[in-house]
Amino acid sequence: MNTPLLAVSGLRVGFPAPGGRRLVLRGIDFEVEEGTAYGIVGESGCGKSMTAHAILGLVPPPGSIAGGTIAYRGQDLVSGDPSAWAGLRGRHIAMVHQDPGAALNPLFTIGSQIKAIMRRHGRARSREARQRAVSLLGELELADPAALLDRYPHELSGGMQQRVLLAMALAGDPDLVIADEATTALDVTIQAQVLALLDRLRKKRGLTLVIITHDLGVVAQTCDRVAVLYLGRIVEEGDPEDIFLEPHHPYTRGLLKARPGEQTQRTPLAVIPGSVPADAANITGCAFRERCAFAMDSCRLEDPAERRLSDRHRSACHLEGGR
Amino acid sequence: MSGIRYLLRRLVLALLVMLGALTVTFAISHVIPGDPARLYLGARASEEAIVAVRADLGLDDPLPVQFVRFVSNAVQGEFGYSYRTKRPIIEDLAERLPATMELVVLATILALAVGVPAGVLAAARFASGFDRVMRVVSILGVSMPAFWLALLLQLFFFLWLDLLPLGGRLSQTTSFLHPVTTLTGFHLVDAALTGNWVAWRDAVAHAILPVVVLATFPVSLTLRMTRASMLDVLAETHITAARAAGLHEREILFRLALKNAIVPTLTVLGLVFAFSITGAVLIESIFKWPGLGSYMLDAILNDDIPVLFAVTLVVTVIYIVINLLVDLLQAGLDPRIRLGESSVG
Ligand SMILES: Nc1ncnc2c1ncn2[C@@H]1O[C@H](COP(=O)(O)OP(=O)(O)O)[C@@H](O)[C@H]1O
Ligand code: SF4
Ligand SMILES: [Mg+2]
Repeated sequence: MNTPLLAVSGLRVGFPAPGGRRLVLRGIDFEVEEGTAYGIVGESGCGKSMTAHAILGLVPPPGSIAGGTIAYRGQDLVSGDPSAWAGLRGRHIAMVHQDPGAALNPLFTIGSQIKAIMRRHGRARSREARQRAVSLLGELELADPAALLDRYPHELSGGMQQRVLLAMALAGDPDLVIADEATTALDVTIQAQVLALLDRLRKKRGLTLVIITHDLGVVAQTCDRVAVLYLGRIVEEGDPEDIFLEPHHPYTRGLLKARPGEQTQRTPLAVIPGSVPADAANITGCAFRERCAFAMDSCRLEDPAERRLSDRHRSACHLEGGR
Repeated sequence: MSGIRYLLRRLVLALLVMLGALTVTFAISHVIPGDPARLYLGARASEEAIVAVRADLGLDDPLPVQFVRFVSNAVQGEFGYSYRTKRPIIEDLAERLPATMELVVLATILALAVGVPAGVLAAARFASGFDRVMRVVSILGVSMPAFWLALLLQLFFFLWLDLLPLGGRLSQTTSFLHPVTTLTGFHLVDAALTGNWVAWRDAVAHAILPVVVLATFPVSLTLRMTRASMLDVLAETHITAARAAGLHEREILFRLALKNAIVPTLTVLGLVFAFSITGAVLIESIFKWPGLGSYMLDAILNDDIPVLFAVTLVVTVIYIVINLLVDLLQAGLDPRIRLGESSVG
């Protein structure tokens, strides 16, 4: 197999805390093949956005990468020259931030924000930048793109803002786009439209996508691979069929049960009991133990190591199973 | 267009405030004890003379008539005569106001040119050595008494180093041998426009200390405000997004973030500009600067009521104009203000 476009290995990110460091990512491993869509799911606070920012080398201070590697086209960025990493941002790896209202600068027109990125990456000289911005917005199926260039973010609907953010991500003509909760703020119809658009863009531009969401439905629709994140660790990874049809980790099963579509009238709302603990550091054994219906003695003693259930399916749980 | 409506609304508002200020001034002038005619003529004037002057000044007319005349005079700059100099006040103002504005404008330019970039860099290098030094320097700057700093600087640069003059706007030899032709009233501008470089250098030397003293508070306050609002803005998602898009840090700081941070800072800058006019009273008397401040001080010491009213009105107009300018600038920068949604904090 050729080198994956992105290979993250043992990634740990920590923040200084009283009495040491608090790890918010506790060893993340995954690989993204060029031209595919990789989904990362998990509840709020499990480290999805942090993973995205770490890949871009933008862990917010005072946090920092505490270990691991992030290889883009085989080159490790963590141990490499910081300027090489900076050179990838926007031009090779782009990100769509969650909350489009906050991710657009309120004081600049849509056009000036897009053109700044195009100019920066030499994708257009100033004279043709306007024309290119118009065609980019058109590609994102926004109506009347020329007029849109002179509008301010607050004049746009949420769906339009989201498409503008996508346009800004594409302005530097990147190979990899990380979409962080790109559809969370949108209502269901618009959400489906944006997902379909992402899929079309991927095929047309040959993009590689990392799709971050807390909605398994989004993943089912768009992704070639799925990772389930819990408390800064990937607890299960597989193809969508593995995850949806033969989930192994109790947390994945809980997420599947908690999906709105899975509930019938008679069963009460099935949700995972409890909430995400604030910190994994003072939990011995499995981090999911306190919320797990299957917890056993070994779960308290030992943090489960990753187990291969098949070639493309792995899970970090003591439970027997798999094929 | 919302932009034009906003502009009109602000202009009307400024005019109303102006009218309010005139009313208050007029009212005060009628409740303070003492007969203006008597004050004008002095204590030993005859009754006939006083009656004549009262009629002359229109002091016996009905109040509404007096008010209309007062407003129309004020609008035309007819402030009457100074009791002390016996000259038309407007002529005194024409000399004094530019002298003060020269100090205040220079201090404001310093606040913009030094305070803003230093604040941006301190925020960008949060908790660094530079940031720490800026924090200490600016807290000293906002809390140091101006007279104390003035004396210290005079001691150092005049007495010990003999580098800079003690006070005044020009040295006597210069005003005698190379007099500045008055065009704008700003010596620095006039000397430069007429190519009078001897006077220009002399004017600069005279302006340095008073400007530094006057600017210390505005520069420090602007630095602190810029730093604080930059820290807020730099934590916003759109800045992270700009970094993720690979934009240059320079562009992120000085274009994207600063435009957001300068909007609240402008409010402070406007206040500080207006405040400096008041602050100039003290500084002008220390540096023998022939401006509005020392004019006002003399007026207070001599019960020169018309001068006090005229200066109050002029300063009020400046306040209102500055406020209007700040509002319009902020609206120009922030489209949400033009919509009248909410001001951004
Ligand atoms: N600036 C920060 N300082 C300290 N902790 C942070 C910071 N940003 C995020 N975290 C912590 O990192 C964890 C993961 O956050 P995040 O990646 O934003 O979660 P999500 O999966 O919802 O995107 C959370 O526990 C959060 O509290
Ligand atoms: S290791 Fe134990 S506690 Fe953790 S998920 Fe598996 S069964 Fe539950
Ligand atoms: Mg998030």
